[in-house]
Amino acid sequence: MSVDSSNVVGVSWPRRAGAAALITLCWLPVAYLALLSLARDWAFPALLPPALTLATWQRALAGNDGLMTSFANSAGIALLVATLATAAAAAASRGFAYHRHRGWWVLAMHAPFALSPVILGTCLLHFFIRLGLVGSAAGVIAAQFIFAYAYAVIVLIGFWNPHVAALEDLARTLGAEKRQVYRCVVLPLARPLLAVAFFQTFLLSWFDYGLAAVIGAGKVPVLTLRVTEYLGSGNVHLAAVCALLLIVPPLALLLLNRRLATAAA
Amino acid sequence: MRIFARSFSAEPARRRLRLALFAGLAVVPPLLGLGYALAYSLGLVGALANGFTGEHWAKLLHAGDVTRALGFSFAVAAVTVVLATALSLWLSLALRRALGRGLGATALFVPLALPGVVAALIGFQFLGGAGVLGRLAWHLGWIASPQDFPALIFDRHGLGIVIAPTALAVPLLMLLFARLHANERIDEFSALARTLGASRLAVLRRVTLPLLLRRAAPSLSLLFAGVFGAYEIPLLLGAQRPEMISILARRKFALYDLHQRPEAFLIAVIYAAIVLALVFVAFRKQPPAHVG
Amino acid sequence: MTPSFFLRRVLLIALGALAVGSSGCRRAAPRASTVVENLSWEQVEAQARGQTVNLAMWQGDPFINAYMRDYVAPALLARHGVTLRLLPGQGGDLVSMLMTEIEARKTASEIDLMWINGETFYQLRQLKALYGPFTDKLPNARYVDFASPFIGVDFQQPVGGMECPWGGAQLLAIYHEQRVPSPPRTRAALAEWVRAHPGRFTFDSSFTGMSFLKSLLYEIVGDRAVLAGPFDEASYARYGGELWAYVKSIQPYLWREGRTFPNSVTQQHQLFASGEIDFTFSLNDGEVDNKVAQGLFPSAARAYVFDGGMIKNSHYLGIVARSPHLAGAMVVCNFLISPEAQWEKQKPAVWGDGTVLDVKRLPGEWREKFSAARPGSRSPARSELEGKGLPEPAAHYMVRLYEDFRTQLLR
Repeated sequence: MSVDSSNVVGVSWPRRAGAAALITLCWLPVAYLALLSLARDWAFPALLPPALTLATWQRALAGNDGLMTSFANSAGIALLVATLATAAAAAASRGFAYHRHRGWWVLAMHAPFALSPVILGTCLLHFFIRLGLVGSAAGVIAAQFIFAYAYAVIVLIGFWNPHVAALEDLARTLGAEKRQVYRCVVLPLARPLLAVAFFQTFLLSWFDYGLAAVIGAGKVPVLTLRVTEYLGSGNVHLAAVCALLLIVPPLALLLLNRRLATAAA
Repeated sequence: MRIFARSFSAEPARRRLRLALFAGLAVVPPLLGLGYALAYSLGLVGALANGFTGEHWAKLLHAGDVTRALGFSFAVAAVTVVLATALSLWLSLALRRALGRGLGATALFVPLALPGVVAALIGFQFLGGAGVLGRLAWHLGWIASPQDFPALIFDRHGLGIVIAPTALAVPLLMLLFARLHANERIDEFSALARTLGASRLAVLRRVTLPLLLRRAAPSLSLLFAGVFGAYEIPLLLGAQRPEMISILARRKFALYDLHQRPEAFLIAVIYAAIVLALVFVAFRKQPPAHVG
Repeated sequence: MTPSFFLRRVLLIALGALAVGSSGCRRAAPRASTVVENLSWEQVEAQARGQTVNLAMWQGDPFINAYMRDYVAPALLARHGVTLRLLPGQGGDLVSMLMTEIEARKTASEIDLMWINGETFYQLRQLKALYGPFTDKLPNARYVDFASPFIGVDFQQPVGGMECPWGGAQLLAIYHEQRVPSPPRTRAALAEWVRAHPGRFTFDSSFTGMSFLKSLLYEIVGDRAVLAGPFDEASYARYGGELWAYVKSIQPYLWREGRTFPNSVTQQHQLFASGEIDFTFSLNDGEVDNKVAQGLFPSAARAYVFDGGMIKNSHYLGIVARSPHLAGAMVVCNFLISPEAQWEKQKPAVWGDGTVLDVKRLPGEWREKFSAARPGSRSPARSELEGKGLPEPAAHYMVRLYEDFRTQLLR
């Protein structure tokens, strides 16, 4: 007896209403932020803003507040972290995966997550200062790499299974060089998971607040720090614009990914 | 796992070294940080340190702000995990078919794109006295002015710092449970149990929930660790007292009384010990086949 | 490829990394301070040209940020070739960062110039993290009114050339003219008002709120001389006890029944602006006009001073001892206390910050301008503020107030 979970027809209406409500709730924050970024003089008890204006967006995009620079900083740092972490984890994961004590290695990779980013940053600040990494993008990248690499290993370790091992063996017995095996056999198979690891590590860095604040020491403005800055100075509309700049790119990528995934299925 | 006794091209020693280096990338920084923190908390390093002293650790014996913050953070994390798990289990089981594969499942991905700072911003706007919920309440005639609205943020019970992470965690856990449900073939096991005469409730209690919860334990423990050491959300939505430990650690790090700095590092050490113990326990309980 | 071969390679790499890491601190640059001390001002200006000066400041007010970013920075670049970089950082966070730098034995600091106040001044002197004395070297320092007890003394500590006065602040209470027809001007009147209007008054838990508490403390003490000089435990125990008894008596009638307080003056401004409370405070004389012009405060907002007086103080600029850009920092400092920069700063539409210059010492045209300067229409007139300025007590009083705030009020 198979249950087709995509068969919505037989579902009762309260459940459908519940699903609709949940879907609305999921989208509500994004919709609200969009409204907030366009609003002006939106005071209690108005449920909708009295007027909409593009002024806040224009101000943000004009460049005086450095939001475009912060956006570029966030993007550049995240891309570098994702690339370095995924590459390093790809190289590392095979050795861990095929090891006798694979489970222990996976557990060891959770070590950085034993401390929250802020706390780890505070504890390592001394060493980062000694290495001259504080207050620079390089330092932030190095700090975020620790978390991103560990996470990427955890993701990529799942790739190496008996099936892949058998394929590797097959290719070797057929006479392929080690490099050929990786390039022509393993890589095509691993591409989807590598993409996932890349995307997840990108998000890890893109959304990071603690490490950028502590290691960056105010000299590396990234979007997460800007949102907090505007929220702290009461500028709620700019904070909303900043928040949208922060969440729209990942959201777009996520939805695109879903579209591709459901299309392939 | 013997099936993975691979033949590597390099010798065992070189392979061991390489593995150690790769592991070191992730393990050495936290160890280094914790080592430094421990040394600082014992007075061995620091600009105003005077040599080994147990006075900072001794302060733990009296109920002070450190023990209070630890207790509060633990409570907040526990409540969040329990609440989020219960809600997401209920919603994912009840709405599994209604959400289907299309619009519904996609919608669940949207909250994944919300980081802590944005969740705090939303929380501030929705849960504040003059916020969205407050305005709705005013229109419904339930309150007369913003301060009649119950304090959901900046309050002593930490409601806001439970609600915000829960709201973020529920979609994530729903996706996790949906995936586990499929992977663990829960539908088939339930069907089997029903044919053997079990009631719906019994199926839930004996088949569905144990399977789902046991498999989700590592993720739940990581969620606990995340909320336990949360920083951005309590920073923007929490009251000054009681504090979450990440906030307390940062406050003690930058306090006027420079002699309290070692306490910040002490907090880091205890926090790490608790989380490591938790993760260890959660992973130990996993059946071996799951790893991978 | 024996194991020992690899072990040797790894060891070499490790040693190299260690060498690089530790040598990174002992940079061979000559200590800039010895050079700067012996230079004439023209030589200092010449050395400053091309330098980038990192100024750490509180960035919670967009107007102040705009003044620094849109007026000061371009002027510095155009006139002196100095690039001014603004970093967020104030109080304990600044001190903490500098302390970590000291612990890591860093020779060139990340920060050059800091916007500081009395208690930070105290901590920085504890750590020997300030460069100085340097104010004598600044040409514009001759206009500064060091003789004033509010400028030459910072939280009961003589400035001694270790920090440069930048601006003056007078604590004011801000209220809504229509909702509060006759605002309370004494402790007793405040208590009465608060009981009659529960939930409409509060104060914040950071600097501005503590300044308000200090003002109340002065009213309780009565004789200003009691709080002069270094911190006195007996005085604090007695008068502080009365202060907390008073605050606890009105606590149930405060905003949110006194169970929580705004964590910054910015947050309190938002509550005032949204109509949740009827009072806020500010250390900036021009705050009301500033915020009304911005559309953030209702136009009925007004400022006033309590009869017993309210805290008046100055804020300062300090140069970090290990700064690699000492010449640049001094040039920036000198510009910030120049008549033009001080004039721009005191305009209510720009910042509204009081000047530290002695009007009598200024050259002709500036003397007239500053004498004719009027505060905004919504703030009390200069004559009203005469004699109402209370000097800051020793820094440790505020430290105790911060601590007791947590233990007494936030139980």
